[in-house]
Order: sequence, then C-alpha cells, then structure tokens
Amino acid sequence: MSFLSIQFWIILPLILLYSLLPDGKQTIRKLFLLTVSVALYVSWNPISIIFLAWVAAITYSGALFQEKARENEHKLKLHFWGLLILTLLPLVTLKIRPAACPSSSVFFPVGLSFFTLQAVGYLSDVYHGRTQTVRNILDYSLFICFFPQLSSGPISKANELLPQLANPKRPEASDIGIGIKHLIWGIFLKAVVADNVGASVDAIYKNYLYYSGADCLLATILYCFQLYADFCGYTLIALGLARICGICLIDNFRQPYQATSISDFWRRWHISLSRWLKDYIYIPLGGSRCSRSQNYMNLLITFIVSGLWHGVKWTFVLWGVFLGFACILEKALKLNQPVTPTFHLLRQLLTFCAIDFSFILFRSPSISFFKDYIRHIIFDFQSLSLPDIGKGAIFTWIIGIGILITRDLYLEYGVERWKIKPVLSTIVSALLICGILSFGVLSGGNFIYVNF
Amino acid sequence: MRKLVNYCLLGVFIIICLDWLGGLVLDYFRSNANSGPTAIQEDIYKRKEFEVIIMGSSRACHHYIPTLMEKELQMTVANAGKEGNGIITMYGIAEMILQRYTPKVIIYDVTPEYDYLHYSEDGNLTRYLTPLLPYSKDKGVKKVIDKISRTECVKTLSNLYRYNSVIPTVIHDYLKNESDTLRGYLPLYGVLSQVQGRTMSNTDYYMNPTKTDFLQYFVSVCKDKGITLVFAASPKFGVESSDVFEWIHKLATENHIPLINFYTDSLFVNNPNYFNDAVHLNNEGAIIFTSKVCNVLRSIVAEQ
Repeated sequence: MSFLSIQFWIILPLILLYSLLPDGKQTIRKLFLLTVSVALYVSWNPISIIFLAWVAAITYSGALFQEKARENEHKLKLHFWGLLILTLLPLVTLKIRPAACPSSSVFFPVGLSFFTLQAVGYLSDVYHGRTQTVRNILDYSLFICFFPQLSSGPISKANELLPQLANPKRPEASDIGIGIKHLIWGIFLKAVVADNVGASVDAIYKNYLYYSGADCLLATILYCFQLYADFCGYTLIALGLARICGICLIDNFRQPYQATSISDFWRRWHISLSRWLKDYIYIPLGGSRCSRSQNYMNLLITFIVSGLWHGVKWTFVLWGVFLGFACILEKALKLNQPVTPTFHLLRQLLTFCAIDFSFILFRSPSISFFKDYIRHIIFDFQSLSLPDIGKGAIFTWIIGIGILITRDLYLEYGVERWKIKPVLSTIVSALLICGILSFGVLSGGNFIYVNF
Repeated sequence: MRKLVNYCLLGVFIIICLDWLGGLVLDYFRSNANSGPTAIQEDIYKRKEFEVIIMGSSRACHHYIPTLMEKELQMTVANAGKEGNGIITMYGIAEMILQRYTPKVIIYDVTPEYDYLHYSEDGNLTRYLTPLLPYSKDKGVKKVIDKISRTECVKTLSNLYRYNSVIPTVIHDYLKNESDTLRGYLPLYGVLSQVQGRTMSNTDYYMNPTKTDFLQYFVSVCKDKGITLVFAASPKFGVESSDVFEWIHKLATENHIPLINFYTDSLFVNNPNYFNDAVHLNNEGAIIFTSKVCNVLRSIVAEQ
C-alpha cells in the first residue's frame, strides 16, 4: 500500500483519532502505533514481516545478551560480531542475489535496507555503551517498525527515537499543525513535481536514441529534481505522520542543491544515511584521526559502502567511487571550506554539475548504458526538440521545480528573516492542495527509494 | 487546539471555493475553446454532428485524414482518435455523442494492446479515464468511470481533479483564436530510420476481460442504434503476420462487422518512407492509406 493510495487515506483519520487519546494512556498509544505499523507493513507484502521480525528479534535479544557478557571483553566482541552477521544476513543475501542470479525473480522486503541499518545502529550503540539496552519489547518493536519511517527511513538513532516511543505523549496542536503542513508539502513534491517530471525523464531514458543529445542532457537535470522531490516528498510525509503522532524524526534533507561542495552536499542529502555511514563505517575505520592516505581510503570505502547499500551493481559501486574521489580531491585541494559570496553561486553550480553527472550513473541500468548515454549527449548534441512531450508537461515541470527551488531558497536564506503568519501558511497549504488536485499524479505510485 | 481547528476549517473553505471556482472557469473555457485539441473534442463530443466518426488510439489520429475522406465519401467526417487510449475511452466518447445524435458510420481503428489485450503499462486501467474526466458530470461517462474505478468516481467530486493535467491546454486553447481545419487528424512529418525506430513495451498476449467487455458493449450499442461499425487494422512497419488480430476478427465475423485489414499490406509494411516511426504513418503514408480505406468504405457504406 503506497502512502498515496486511497487505502492509506482511510487509515489517516485513525491516526488523527490517536492524537485525541487522553494523556497517560501510554500502553494503549504504543499498542495502537504498533498495530497500525504492522498492519500497514503486512498489507504491502505479508511475507516481509518474517524479515522484520527476524531483525527485531535478533537485535533485541542480542542487546540483552550483550549486557550480560559485558564483563568479558573478548566474549562481548565475538558476540557483537556474531549478532551483526545474523542481522545483516537477510540484507546482504537479498542484495547479492539479483547480481548473482540475474534471471531469478527479485523479492525484496519493503524497508529491509532501512530498518536493518537502524537495528545495526542500535546494536552498535549498545556495544559501545552509547545507549542503554531496551528491555521493554513493545518499545523496541515500535522502534524497529514505526510506520512513518518503515519503508524508506529516515534512519533514526536509538537515543533520539526510543525515548519518544517509550514515553509517547499526546501531540500538541502545534505538532498536528506542523505535521499536516509537512504532509501536504510531501504529497505536493511527490505527486506534482516528482511524478510529472519523472514521466518525461522515464520516456527519454527509455528511448534516448529517439531524442537529441540536448534532450538527454535536460533529462539528467530533470532527474536530479525528480529524485530530490520524490525522496524529499517521502521524507516530509514520514515526518508529517510522525509529528501528528507527537514524534519528531530527523529530517533527511537540508536544501541539498544549495551545497557548495560534494562534502557539503552529503551533509544536506539523505542526512540520516550519511550520519549512519559516518558513525558506523567512517569513524570506526579511523575517520580523519589517522594519516592522510588512510583518511582518504576511509572516505572511499564509506562511499563504496553507500553505493553497495543502494544496490549490488557496478553502476552503484562506480557512483560511490566517483563521489569518494570527488570528496578526496576536495579535501586535498581544500575546496570543502566555506566560500566567499563572489564564488558562492559558481561553486553551487559546479557542485550541481558534479552531482548531476553522478546521478546519470545512479540512474543507468548498466555501465554500457551509461557510456552510450554520455556518448549520445556529447556526439548527438542537436538542439532541444522533446518530441512527444507536450507543452502542458513542460509547463508543469517549470512551475513544480520553480516552487521547489523557491521553497529551498526560503528555507536556506529566508526562514529567519521572514516568519510566515499562520493565516498565510493556511492559504499556501490550501493552494498546494489545489495544485495537487490540478496537476498531481494521483494513481498511488511508489517512491523511488522504496526500491532500495 | 481550537486555533488549529479554525485554521483547518479556513483551509478547507478556501479549497472548496477554489475548487468550485476553478471548475466553473475551466468548464467555461472548455466549452468555448476555439482552437487546439480542446476545441476538436468539444466539436466532436458536444457541439457538432458528423456522419462518419473515426475512433481509436494514436494510430487512428495519425492515420485517417477527415478532409480527404469528406471529398471521397461526400460525408462529414471527424477523427476522435486519442493517443495512448483504447476502447474504454472510446466507449465513453461514444456515450456522449450518442446522447445528441446518431452518426451513420463509426470506423474503429483497432490497437490490440489498448482494445482487448492486457498491456504491461495498463496498471488498474484508470489511465484510460483521463480524457473522460473533464466530462465526468455526463451520465454516460460517469457510468464508464464507475465501471473502471469507484475511487476515480470519488476523486471526480473535485472540479479541479476533473481537469488534472489538462489545465494549461484548456486555457491555451481558449485564449488562442485559431480554428482547426484538420478535424482531429494529427499529421506526422518524420521518416523512419533504423536508429530512431521506437521500441514498444512488451505486450503480454493474453486477454483483458474489462476491455473485451467494453468492446462487446460498443458493438451492441452500435447495433442497437443502427450505426455501421467498421473495424480497421492500419499498417505497421516491419510486421509479418496479423495473428494479433485473431480475436477481433472472430468478434467481427460473429457480429457481421466488416474488418478492413491493412496491417501487413505490402505497400506499407516494408516501406520506411511512409512511416514516422515503426507504428505510425507519416503524412505521406496517411494520404495513401486514407485513399485506400475510402475505396473499401464506399462499397461497405453502399451495401449498408
């Protein structure tokens, strides 16, 4: 069940009713949230619940065992690595399987990549003493399968989400108001921007030889906005739903196309994953507290892991390698330092170009497709023609991307200077809903990051 | 909490007002459009009467030239073909037309993947309702929408949703004052080359029961109204067999409906100069094809 399907909108009033539960009924709140989470997850694919239960059971019981084994460091370490392998086993096996047996049909439980990382993060934090072991199975189950973040994150840390779930409070009016606003923006970005832009991007990528090189280049730029609007839209919906329940989740995006370097971009894009990779891969490898060459190697490994997390394909590996080398180059040439206003726009543009190039790899089904596509852009660069793409579609992209950029500019530069009054905010929300009705693709399609 | 409820009510009020006003304005623009696809649709569905109506997918709107057919057949002709659409859309359009008058002839250009076969990009078939949504207040169209999806019925309570994705086109067609002379024909001027040949999605060759039901309804309605229905299979580049038309051939035979089959016609099938891409004739090809169809149609119409 997609968040944009009609079945979901039947459940939404139940979630709003949750907010009316009186204070102090914490067990009822937790049971309600757990029931909705499990019911939604089972409705997507009943078999997937086995993997969710496996990860939850291994990490919950494993953390409790770790506490008991704390006196014996060697035993604790062995235990930790054993648990890690068992937790990661379904994720690694199912990620590798399509690469190993391309002809076999692909089954991949929704959200496996996300809740596995969240569980591994918890296990690691308990091992290193950064968080306390959770004894209440209800709390832990909710931490693993909390429905707003279950399918595509954001990946939460135990010490930021568990306390909220362990003591769920009745949401305030401001929580519900902010939650509804996030929900509306999320649906707008997904249905109006991502899906409309995506239809044209898919048409061009599918038959790129039919289009000019300039059309294909435009498609790569549009894909950057499609991917951003799609994932940011999902995140806002997740944040909104959680906020309506009185829970604050980490925001995955901070105006990523305002970045002035690749390193800056990764502090703004898929923030929860970047944070996870930094805390559980980069820093344990040594981070920057080592020789320069080791630091560069750590960066490269972290980005390769990021690529592999998206999929076990050479395109994702090369995507990770490209970004890793880009970050290394920036570090070596000190290009990741704050810039003067004069060069600010130039650096933003250059960063966008580099990210755009990396997303061609990200989008390509194979290396040979990537090479052919780049070759077509360079050697068949005739003027923009966009056959079969109507003026109506172009109009919708321009308006949708324009609104997305305006929102980002406001959040980056204007949110401190210009506070939006509640009445204006209500009018904007109403206009967004009208925009969704007028231009949104409302067939309940899936989000891109559900595929990872 | 009271303030939140008040702001929510204000928001809902604004949405209802904008939705109602938007629908009013867009209905006016649509019914008074003088150019573009909006005007053509209004002429065919609501404003004018034509003795011959051509229906089908993009292969209909790119292959049949109404002005040429009018000269050959001495009858008024319009092309109601719609890109990427099939029998579900056409049935809805037929319902609208038949509420006003009964055409003498309907030529239905059959595209198997849209008209009776399962098509990989179909989803839940609601994509075929998109051209009908602006007319969802029409009784006949409402019936079609309801048969395909109750959810769409609920969504069409919103006036703005009825014009989902066509608002720029409707406004443009209202403001532009250039009347169309092609009556729904959309000429293509490219020439097929190996490199630029389009790839079609894989079609699963099994029947779609909803589509076949609609085809059966369509045939029954034409019979009841005394309309001469003619099925046509227009040319496609490079094909060797017309086996894919077996089912429609059977339906046509059972119901005594003529089937004009040019799918593998030797004049077209190996001649890329007549094609814009592998599935659509260019203007040169369409002129020749339309003449050939008229030659066959003359005798069919005379017999009826």
